[in-house]
Amino acid sequence: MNTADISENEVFCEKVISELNKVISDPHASVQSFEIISVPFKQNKSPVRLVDHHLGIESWCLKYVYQHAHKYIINQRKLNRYPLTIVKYLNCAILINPDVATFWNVRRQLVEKVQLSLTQEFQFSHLVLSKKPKSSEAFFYRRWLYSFQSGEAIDWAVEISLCERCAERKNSNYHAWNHRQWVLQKAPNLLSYEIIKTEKFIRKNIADYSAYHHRHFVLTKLFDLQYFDIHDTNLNELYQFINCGQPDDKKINNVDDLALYLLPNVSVPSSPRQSINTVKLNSFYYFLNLIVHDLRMINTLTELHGKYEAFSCYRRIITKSAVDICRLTNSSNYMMTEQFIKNTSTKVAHDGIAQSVIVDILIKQLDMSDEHNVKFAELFL
Amino acid sequence: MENGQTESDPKDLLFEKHVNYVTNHGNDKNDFEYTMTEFLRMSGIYWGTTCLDIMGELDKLDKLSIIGFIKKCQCIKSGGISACEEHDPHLLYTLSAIQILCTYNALDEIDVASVGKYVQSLQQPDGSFFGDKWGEIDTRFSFCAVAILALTNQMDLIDVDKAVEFVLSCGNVDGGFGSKPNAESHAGLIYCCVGFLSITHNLHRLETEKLAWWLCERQLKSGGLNGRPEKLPDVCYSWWVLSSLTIMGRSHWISGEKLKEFILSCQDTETGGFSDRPGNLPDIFHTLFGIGALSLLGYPNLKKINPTFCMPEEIVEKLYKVQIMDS
Repeated sequence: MNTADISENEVFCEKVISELNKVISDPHASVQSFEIISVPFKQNKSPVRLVDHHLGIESWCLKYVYQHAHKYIINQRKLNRYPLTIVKYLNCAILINPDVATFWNVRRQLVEKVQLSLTQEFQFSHLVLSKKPKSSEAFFYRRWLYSFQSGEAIDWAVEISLCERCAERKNSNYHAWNHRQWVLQKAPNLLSYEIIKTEKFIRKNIADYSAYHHRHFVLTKLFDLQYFDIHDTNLNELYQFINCGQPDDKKINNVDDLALYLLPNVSVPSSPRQSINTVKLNSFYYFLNLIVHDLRMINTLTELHGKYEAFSCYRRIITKSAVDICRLTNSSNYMMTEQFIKNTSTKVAHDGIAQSVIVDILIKQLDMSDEHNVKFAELFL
Repeated sequence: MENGQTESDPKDLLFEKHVNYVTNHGNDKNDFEYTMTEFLRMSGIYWGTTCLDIMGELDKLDKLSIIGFIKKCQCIKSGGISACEEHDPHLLYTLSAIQILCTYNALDEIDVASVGKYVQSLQQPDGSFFGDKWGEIDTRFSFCAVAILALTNQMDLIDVDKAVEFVLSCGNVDGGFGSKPNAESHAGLIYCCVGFLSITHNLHRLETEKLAWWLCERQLKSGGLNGRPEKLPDVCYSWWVLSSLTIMGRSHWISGEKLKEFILSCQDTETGGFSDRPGNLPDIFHTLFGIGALSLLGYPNLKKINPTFCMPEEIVEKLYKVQIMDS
């Protein structure tokens, strides 16, 4: 390129960068997404396009525009200064290449100096995620931004929705699911809503194992938190699972029999009813009912779609957790009230006194003609 | 054949082509691609030098200019090293820089003590490590931290016990490890955690059988390995899974022969270099991990690679004794 070309190129890049910035910062444009439009050769019009709140840039100009923005930012860093005009170059460079941590860090410094607003930054990182839904830098930046806000002021459900959209757009989106766990840590009150949300997601994205992993996390976390739904004490799935193939006179249909069946060690006469921690008991039932529900869901999905690795992995892992939790609840003072534990010097039950039948049934529903299941049972159960 | 493999795929290592591919990589410094990948330049150089060293061709690269580049990337204030000049220091690139310097036997070219202080400053009360001062936590950073300190003989700067506790807290019921507590098991992060335990001599704290089984399940019909259930095979997981299994003394639990076939089918017969899967464009990252995995599989005419550090065994031997389990 000769000198005239260079300056022409610079004028062009400045124009594109300013145009991008104008659209991004215009509240009326309220840009929702950013895309790179595949156009290999220069057209006789601006490469920046805005259609119905969707922003796009034509691919042919990326190399010029990115190099220009990059050069500007690096030069400012050499001079060790960050004029506010750097923001438009950062916007452009990060939208094209969201992986550059250093560019995000410049934004962080501007936020710390209150030269960039949190609202603006949430919007910008949102825009980046519309282009690259698995951008770890964008998720990390959002976590950092939230550290400036007080917990009560945040609508965490919105953040969950963002994770959901990113997960839908990119299979097995590790960073989106991790971010979702982080949100749930901040807002554990949202955990119970995840039961319905993740089931819906799984039914729509059957081979996305990250979603199954997340659901497993949610279920076990709810059990740890001793959660159950006061308004939904329906344990039909659990009864059905236990009674399957049993003669009528052996069928269980009330909570007392269920306790005897699931917790033979705990329900011995020496432990009167009032000695049992009912919150833990209800949460145990609730958990087990969900596990059984999921086992049935996997059966249905297999009938519909055939065999998938995600199905067998999930079946194995929830079986493992259910077996572990059945053993835990049945074999120690876990179910007892604190009062009761204080007043009795010996444990009510010991491991192995009466193995809960449910453990056997859970293990048996694994298809042992599959050598993977055999090996799994040997190692894990 | 699945995953784009064909009968005409190469069955042997295209040695000369790979040497040329790595040597000429990044020669065009005005290239758009070169600017786009600047943020991981230091790791790129580590992938290139290690790859050539394993092939016995390290002298193809200009040692002095590489060392000069690293010196310019050390941050005077923090002691950390960045991917490139004018970028911010990070544990990821600090480790890459240290690995390159070890390969060139040139650790004394930089201020190693301040690198140690940098690593020390990033450890958190729960034993985890920030990747840089902005506070992201990941088991990758735990690996980087102990790898840097082991290679520079400064392990006493951190609380190793706490660091081990944190890494173990990232284990899952399936036997695997993720980037944080409760994060999904992932073969790349398993490598970081197993490598971490190999460096800190804590492999006995692993549930070896469960983890090795999970890793074996990663081998697909094509012989290639994936990093998580339902994912496609990828040459870089050949390294991460196989090196983890090797550290645990269980590399014979997968079919090395089939894996070798898959890796060789990912070579670019025109330009040299390896891609993630057959038929895709090659890059330097997958080229190192393809060559590295072949070295672990005992492929002829490649130097022996250390499974923990992903560096030639002859170099690691002189610097640090890693723990490896018997097979």
